[in-house]
Amino acid sequence: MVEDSPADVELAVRALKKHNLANQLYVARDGAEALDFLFGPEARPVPKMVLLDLKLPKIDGLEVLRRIKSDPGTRRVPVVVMTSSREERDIVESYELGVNSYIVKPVDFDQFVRAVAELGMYWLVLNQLPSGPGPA
Amino acid sequence: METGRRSLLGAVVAFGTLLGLGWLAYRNADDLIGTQRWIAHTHQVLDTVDATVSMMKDAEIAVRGHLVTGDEDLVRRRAVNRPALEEYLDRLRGLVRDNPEQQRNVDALDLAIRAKLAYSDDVIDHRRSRDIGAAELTDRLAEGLRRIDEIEGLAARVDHHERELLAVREAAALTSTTRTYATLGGGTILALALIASVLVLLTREVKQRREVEAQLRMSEHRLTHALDASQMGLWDLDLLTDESHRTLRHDQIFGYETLQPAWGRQVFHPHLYPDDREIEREAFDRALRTDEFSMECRIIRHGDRAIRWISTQGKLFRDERGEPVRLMGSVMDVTERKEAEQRLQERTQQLEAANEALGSFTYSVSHDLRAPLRAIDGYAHILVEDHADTLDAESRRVLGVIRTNARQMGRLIDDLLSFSRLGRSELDRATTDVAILAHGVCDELRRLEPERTVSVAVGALPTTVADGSMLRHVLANLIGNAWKFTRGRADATIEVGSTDAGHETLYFVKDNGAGFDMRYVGKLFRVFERLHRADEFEGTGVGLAIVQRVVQRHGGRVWAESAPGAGATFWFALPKEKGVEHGARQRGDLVGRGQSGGRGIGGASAQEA
Repeated sequence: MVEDSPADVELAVRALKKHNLANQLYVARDGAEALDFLFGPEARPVPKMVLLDLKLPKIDGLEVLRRIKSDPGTRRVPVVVMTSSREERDIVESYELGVNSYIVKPVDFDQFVRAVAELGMYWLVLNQLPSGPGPA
Repeated sequence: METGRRSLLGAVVAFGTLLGLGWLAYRNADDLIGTQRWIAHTHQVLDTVDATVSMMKDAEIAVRGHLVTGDEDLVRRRAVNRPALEEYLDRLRGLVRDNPEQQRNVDALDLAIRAKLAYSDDVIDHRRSRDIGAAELTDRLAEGLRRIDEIEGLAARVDHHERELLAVREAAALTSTTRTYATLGGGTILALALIASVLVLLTREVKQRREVEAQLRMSEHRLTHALDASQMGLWDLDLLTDESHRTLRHDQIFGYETLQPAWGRQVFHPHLYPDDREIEREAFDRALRTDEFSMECRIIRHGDRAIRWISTQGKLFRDERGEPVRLMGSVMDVTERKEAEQRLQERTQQLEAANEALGSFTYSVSHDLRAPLRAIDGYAHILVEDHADTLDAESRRVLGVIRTNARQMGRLIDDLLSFSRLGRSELDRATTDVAILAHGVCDELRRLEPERTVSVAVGALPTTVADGSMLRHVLANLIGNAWKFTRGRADATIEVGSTDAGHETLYFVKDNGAGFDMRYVGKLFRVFERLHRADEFEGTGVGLAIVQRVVQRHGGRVWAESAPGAGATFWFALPKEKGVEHGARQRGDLVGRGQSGGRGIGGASAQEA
């Protein structure tokens, strides 16, 4: 999860935990941290899914998305943009870059919890991905 | 032109006729004079013959007297007449030299006279030498008389012939005179008629020319006034000599009060603003290639040295070999327009910057204002969920109020963003099926509140050319309102339909819900204006403002009819032709084109490609 707002992180974690989806969650607080996690020197497993906010300090979410989708090692990882922005240009740009879903964060907490849970269920449980990182 | 040629032809014919007439008159007069001369000649011949004969008779009387009396005086008198007789005969021969027959007659007469004279001489000699007997005297006298008779006969022949000639000549003279009169009379009448017709033609031509001149003056007058009114100057440049004809306005544009003695490119160049030299050169080069001259450049005006913008258009003319010889056109001072354009450009840039700022602002609002609200709602929720045991009823109520207000503010922000976006983003027009949009909206409403039973009737709705996603907002708000305000009714009914109104199509959404007081209809479409309390019907007061803005941007209008408790009917009219976007339209599209919104999960956008 790439999210700079601690409140949003906490709420999202709470929602995921509620549905037993937060057992292996790593939170990056800005774009740089996210890229470091994904492409840094420390070898880490490729995540099963990335929840990405767009408006981030240092490196913004669209840049992170671009890096994920242009790297052969990570481009098959489902990326869900979850942001407050419902600006058309963000939506279009995200899809241009190959985002798998684009969700506008609801203000209503109940809706928020539902959305996060549904996303987790869909991408982590229901959706079938090819095994392995794919050809380089 | 035609009349001109006719009158010229008439003049030539009249001139020719008069010339011919003069010639004929001269010929006739000449004839007449000749004839008269011949008549006089005839009379001369007659007189001469007469005189000759009478002279011979006189001589005979003298000879006879001498014979009888022997008077020598008589013989002398006769001799005196001889030179005169010779002269008459000479003259007579001279007079008839042109007429062979008369010549012969005169010769015969001459011969007879000379014979008679010789005989008389012989008789006189004879009388002098001896006396003559009575018998011989009688013989000689008889012979003398016989010879005189012969001479008279010959003279009569000459006389007769000459009189015949006289008759012929007098007849000829009469004919000639008659002909002369006829020629003169007829010719004069003909000439007068011709001159009269030439005069008529000329008069007509003069009149026509005057009319043409008057028309010409009038059109020149009009042109002058039009040019004056348009502040346009004209110029006509000879490319070979660099000389020109201009109107006064042309030189006035360059700061001169009166027409300058000379003007050409050489005179123009010092006026040209130095930075625009390239523009001028290119304009001329282009004119040489395309024959069209068009240039906007700055000049330094004579006198006040002000920098002015001029716009000049012209046309290039070539000689028969295709060489450019002449450039002709108009010139206007367009400084005010240029300055206005510049101001407009500056304003546009400012506006674009302002829009840019507004874009960032709404982006921030969208992103940053919603995040804290979500936290407020979320944490209030956590409090309720995790600490329900320790909270009393009042605490839970207060937390509920907090959450309600946080969500309300979230909706408010969302609606405001929609309102802003629908006003800013460019219209993406396509043929749009309004019926599909209406059904989509209704389906979504049913899905969100499945427990309600609302009778929705969507009638025939013609397609229109509009931005489909924007039009969906219109229907979502109107049908959504109808849905909301019929909540209290068990027999809730919503009708969506349309009527044809000529140049526009009227669509309506009618419900039997709460309705509103028409006194407040003016507030209805304003942002944040509500006619119902929040505890009656929830809402942000933005929906109908969105409706109005979208419809107006499509060139349409929107209005409503209602009464409290009697339901409401909302109308919107869309022009059948491609609607004109009203109000300020921005150029920089900040949001990006295409389908905006898209928050409805179940609502189908009926936008056709």
